[in-house]
Formats: sequence, C-alpha cells, structure tokens
Amino acid sequence: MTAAFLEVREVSKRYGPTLALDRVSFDVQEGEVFGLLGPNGAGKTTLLSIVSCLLGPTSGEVRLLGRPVAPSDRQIRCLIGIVPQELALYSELTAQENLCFFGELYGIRGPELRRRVRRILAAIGLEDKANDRVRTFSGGMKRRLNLGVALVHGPRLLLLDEPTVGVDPQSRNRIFEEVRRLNGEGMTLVYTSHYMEEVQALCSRIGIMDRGRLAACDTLPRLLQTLPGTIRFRVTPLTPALRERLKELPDALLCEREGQLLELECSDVKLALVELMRLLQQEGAALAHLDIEEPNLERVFLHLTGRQLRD
Amino acid sequence: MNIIWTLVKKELRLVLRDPIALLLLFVLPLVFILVFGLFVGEGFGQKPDNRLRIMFLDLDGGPGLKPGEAWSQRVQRDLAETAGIRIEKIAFREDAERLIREHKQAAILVFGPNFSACLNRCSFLADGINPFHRDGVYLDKIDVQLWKDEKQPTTAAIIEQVVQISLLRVILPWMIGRAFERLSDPEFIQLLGDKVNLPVPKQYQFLMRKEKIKLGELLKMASGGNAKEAAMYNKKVGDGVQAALAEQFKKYNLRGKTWASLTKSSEEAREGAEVVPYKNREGAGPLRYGGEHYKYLVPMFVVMFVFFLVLIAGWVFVAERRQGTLRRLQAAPLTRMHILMGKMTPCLALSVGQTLFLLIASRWLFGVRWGPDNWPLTEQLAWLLPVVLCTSLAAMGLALWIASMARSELQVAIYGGLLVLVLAVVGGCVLPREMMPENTQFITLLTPQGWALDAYRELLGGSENYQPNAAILLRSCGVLAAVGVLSLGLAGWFLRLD
Repeated sequence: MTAAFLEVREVSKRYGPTLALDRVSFDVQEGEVFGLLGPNGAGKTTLLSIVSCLLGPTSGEVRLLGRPVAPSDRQIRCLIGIVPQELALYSELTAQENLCFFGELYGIRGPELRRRVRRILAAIGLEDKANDRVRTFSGGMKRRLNLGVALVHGPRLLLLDEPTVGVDPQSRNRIFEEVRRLNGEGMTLVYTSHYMEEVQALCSRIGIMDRGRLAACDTLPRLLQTLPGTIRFRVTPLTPALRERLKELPDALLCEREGQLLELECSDVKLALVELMRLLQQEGAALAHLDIEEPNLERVFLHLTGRQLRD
Repeated sequence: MNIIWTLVKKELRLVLRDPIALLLLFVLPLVFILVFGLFVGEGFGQKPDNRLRIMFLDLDGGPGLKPGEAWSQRVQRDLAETAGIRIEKIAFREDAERLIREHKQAAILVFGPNFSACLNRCSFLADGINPFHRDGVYLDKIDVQLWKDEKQPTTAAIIEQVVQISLLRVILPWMIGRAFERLSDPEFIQLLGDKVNLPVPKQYQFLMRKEKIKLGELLKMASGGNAKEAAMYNKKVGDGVQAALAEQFKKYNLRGKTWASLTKSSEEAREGAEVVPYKNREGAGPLRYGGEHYKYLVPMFVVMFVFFLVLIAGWVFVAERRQGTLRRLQAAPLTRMHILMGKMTPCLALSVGQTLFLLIASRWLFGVRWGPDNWPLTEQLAWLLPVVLCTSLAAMGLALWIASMARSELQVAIYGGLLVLVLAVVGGCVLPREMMPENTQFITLLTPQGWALDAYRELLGGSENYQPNAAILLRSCGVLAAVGVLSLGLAGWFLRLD
C-alpha cells in the first residue's frame, strides 16, 4: 500500500493548560481537496500551522510525501503554500511587488518569476491592478491576492485557512474557481472553513473538527449516511389499518407527534417516500401535509458534537 | 545572500513609501536644526562669558608714545588689563555698523584716524588740547566716537564709563609726565625767574640799588653775563624744582607717562588681558550660514534623530507581526538569521543614509565643517564614517531590542519614545553638556547619545584649525560599537517570531 501524500498521525498541541489539538489523525491523498470543517476555535488553524512548519506539535507526527514535517526543514517548506486566515500582505507594496517578493524568498527570480507573477495575476483577476498598492484594494481583491501569494512558488500542497472570510460573492466565486483549477492541475489542497456549503461544494473528503478533536473524517455521502432522513406528513383518514401498515414499511421507523403529525425516520429518504406514496394509494388515504428533511453537514455536525456549527 | 537582499529591498521600499517615517527621519531633524539655528544666540552651547564685552574699531594712524605703537593700542591694552572685561577688535567698519544696527552690541568704541595726533597735542599748556571736563574726557576733542545702540542705554552707559576711565588712565599720566618734563624748559625757568621776586638784604641794597630782585636777575648776575653759564644755572634750577617735587611727591613718579608708572604700581597680569579679534559667530544670510551655534545644534539633532530609528524599526517590526506577513516569512524557507539580517541590514542602511543626508545638508545649508580645514575631504570622511557607522550600529541595536520586546505599536511608542527621549535629554541632545552643572555632566556618558555627541563634536564642533583628538574618537566609537553589539545580543535573546 502506498503512503498518503499527507499523513497526520496522533497530532496533539498544548498551549499551557489548553489542549488545542487532541490526537488528530487523518490522511490526504495526492490530488485531493480535503476539507476541515469546524467552528472558530476548533483547532483548524493550529493544525494548518503544524502542517505548514510554523509550529511543532507537542506530540504526534506529520509527514508529507513520507518525509517528516518539521519547522527546521527548509526544503519541505518549498512544497507547501499557505493562505492564512488573516490577510498577510504588504499594503504599501503593489500586487506585483508582493508576488515578486514572496517568489524571490523561494528562490524564483528573473523571467521565470515574471512569468509566474503574470499568470497568477491573470488567474486571480488582478492583472489590471498589478501596479496598484494593496492598501487601495477592496477586501475581496486582497483575499484573492492573499491566495495568489501562496501560489507563486508553485507548491504541491496548498493549505487554505478560511480563505473566504469577509469576501464579496464575486471574489468568493473567483477563489472557488481558482481552487478547482488548481486541483484540476493536480495540486493537493487542504481547505478549512466553518462554511458548510463551501466544504460541501469543494471537498472530496471532509474532516469535522471540534474542540481540538477530529470528530469524523470521510467522504460527504458517507458522512451523511450516518444520519437518518425524516419525512413528516399528515394523512386523512388515518385509520388503524393504515397506521399498522405504515409501521411495517421497510427501513423506516414511524413516530407519532402531536396533532396527528407522523414522522418516518429512514436511511434512504427517496426510497421511503416512494413506498409511502404507494401505500397511501392502496389505502385510499390523502396526503394533507408533507415535509422532507434530508441529512446535511450541519445536522451531522450537530449530531457529532451536540452543538451548532456556528455557535 | 539573495534572500537577505530581497528582504532589505522590501524593508527599504516600505520605509521610503511611509511619509511619516521619512518626515521623522529626514525632514524633522533639519527643521529642528533650522528653527533652533534661527532663534538661539551665537553663544549657544558655550560656557557663558559673563564679562562685559567691549568692542572697538581702530582707525588710528599713530604715532604713539613708543615707535610703532599708536595711542589707540595703549588704550586697548589698558582696557584689556581691566578685570572682568573682554575686548574684541572689529576689523571692518561695516561689521561695527551692523552690530549696532542689529542691536548685537550696546556700544562700540571707534578710534578715529587722528586719535594719536590729538593725544600728542594734549597738554596742560595753553596751546595744547585740554581733553578734560567735569565728567571725564571730551571724546570729540581726541577723535574718538562711541557708537551706541539706543535700545541698550544702560549697557552703553557702563561701557562709556569704562572707556572714560581707561582714557583718563592713559591721557592723564601722559599729560602730567609731559608737564613735569617742561619744568626744566628755559621758557619755564624764564617764567619762574620773572614770577619769583625775592627781597634783597639791606647790606646789599646799595649794590643792587633795589629792595627786591627777581630770581631771573639773580641767575643772570650769577652767570656774570655768560650765556652758557646762565643756561646751566637755569637748568640747575629746573632740575632742582623737579627733584624737589619728586621728593615731595615721592609716592608718584611724575616723569612716568603711564598710569602704572605714575602710580608706581607693579604691572599685574590680569585675567582677560588679551585683545581678541572680533569674529562673526552668528553666521551669514537668512539661514545664518557658518554660525557657531550650528557646531552644537547639528551634532545634537543628528544624534537625537538617528536614535529615532528605534521607533521606525519598532513600528515596522510590529506591523509585520500584526499584518501577518511575519507568519508568511516563517512559512518561507528562511532561517531565523535570514529574518534578523533582513531587518538589521536595512535598519543600519537607513540610519547611515539618514546621518549622511543630515551631515551633507548641514554642510551645505549651515556651513558645518566635517573636520579641520587643512584636512582633505577624504581624511575628513575617513574619520567621520566610523563615527557614523558606530552611532548607527548602536541605534540599530537599540531599535531591534525594542522591536523584539514590543508587541504593539503602542508599546513601541511607549518603550521607544521613553527610551529615545529620556536618553536624548540625559545624553545632552537637548541641553548641551557645557550648559549642565559640572558635577552632573558625567551623566551624559551613561547614554550612547552622550558618546556619539563626544565623537561628532570632536569633528564637527572645532574651529578651522582644531585638530580632533583621536583618542576621544576611538573611545567613543568603541563604546558605541559595544552598545550596538550588546543590544543586538539582547534583541536576539528576546526576539520571538511566533
């Protein structure tokens, strides 16, 4: 079995009495977009800091391409690009100067640097603002440049820490497009967010973090499968015979609520709905009210942690 | 090396694009020097000279009492020997007129071209000039003027009294001496002979055929009509009168023509017995180019503002941390040494650039010299550059030390501001050391600013021929370099990049 592109093994990080990360383990395969979903304070940024060589773990190990990641390892840093949660740009430099500066720090110079800078400016939609100082940019433009700076040295692993916080929809779409494009070119990405929709839209696998722990880690469908769907309905007339037949529906559990509201909990909502309709037709009953609730990440998070994602 | 150069370029770019930093480092020091330069007096920074300053313009053509010495020089010497007076000789009439016009001097004594000639004619005789009146000497009778500033009547009156006394001390002995000499003149004996009428004893009256006889007739009789012998007897009478008077007034030398000789007082060497040529210390033009006070102001403010680097570097460092770029630098393949060098090098370059800019501007705008005039520019620079480098090293060290400890702009302002201002005040950048009480002056050397000032003043503060003391320069450079290295060590110790 080949080693994963990124391996995080039993990583813990303690700040004095505070345990910021508690034995977190997961793998990321090459070419994958891995999402880390969790509320503020869940430990996502600490984890990314460890993966990007900014911090050392208190215990555990991170490996990239089978090689241990350590703050003192300068070579491995060239493989990693990080988009910090806070904007990390020199506001008195132009967009082009920011990109060139960080490119030069990674040893890229001359025509190659100029070529890369041009390409990145085009990709993030800031070609016409190349020579404007960053302080004149809107929040969304700064976010895009923040992403561009992390790409200038051509990393193989890109770590994005809440890259869309406080941006306008246009810039958010630009960032999404860029993430997809980069992934399409084979880049591996770790994307943290507390926006469920973003993670759902971009990531092939998702780790759910809360209070420093990795509560779950899987593909989206498999995460959703851990929760039942719910069909709420009223029928007229609700005869005892109908009630008995509803209880016998396969892979479904009938609950009765107040006001003759019935609730079917089922692992496959679509299949259960087809069965329900067929039964009602056979019994000559009419559907007076119907409400379907399918599982989503929000509910998965609530189920796993006992609290809302945006608490 | 490339990485450090990249970091240096970025830092310099950031600072050069920060108008406040530029204002603080390059413009404000010049403004301070200029403003203070326009308002402080020429004696700023020097030990106050409490002596009364008397200035004179000497147009006297002589001759005086001794060959080659005009009477005006005798008056000057008398003034110079007067305790508590500083005498300055003005070379040009225009300078004297300007000093009065600009209220820089309360009164200026002007010896006219005929001063000696007039004095030579002063005499108690009827045909001589009588220069005296109830209050002293008629200045106009001896071709002397006292130009006065109408706005300083009190000081002018004091100067006039001092001048009057000196003139009396010079003129009166001269006139008494001359008068005493005239006692043996034939004209005087003739006069005496005519005026002294002696009674003739009775036994000789029949011979003389008169009851009274004049002294002149007696001397004539004694010579028996021999003109040569008559002259000899006349001289004997004159000498006798002189000797009798000398004996009678033996506390005085009536032949002496100077005050010291007349009063038989021993010549005393007095403080300030020196006539100093007047020199324009105020500088010329609207910027007071070449003014003496710039020798103090330029080193003071150059040193003071070089240490303002502490604030600039601190703010840049804290901003790097606040805006998250320090985190990006850490994520890049850089070592801690790269990051430190990337901060130190531009700090040092900025500080050296700032100092050189201020020194060039001060030379150009205010006429401050970089060393003795007889040194070629290369030699001046050879001494100046080590001082600049060592001062900047100390400033950079302190800057990074503060930057390594401060966590916010406010902390930089508090730590850095206090450090810079307190050290500047204690170090003598606000009040020159010479103006501090002598027993507290050593405190200035507890600060790097004090040592830097010592070195800069040694080069910038001397006169055109002053030879800087190499020992002071080397010692100051050594202390500043040590402060720089020590501060850098502390900065490295305290610096936390995470």
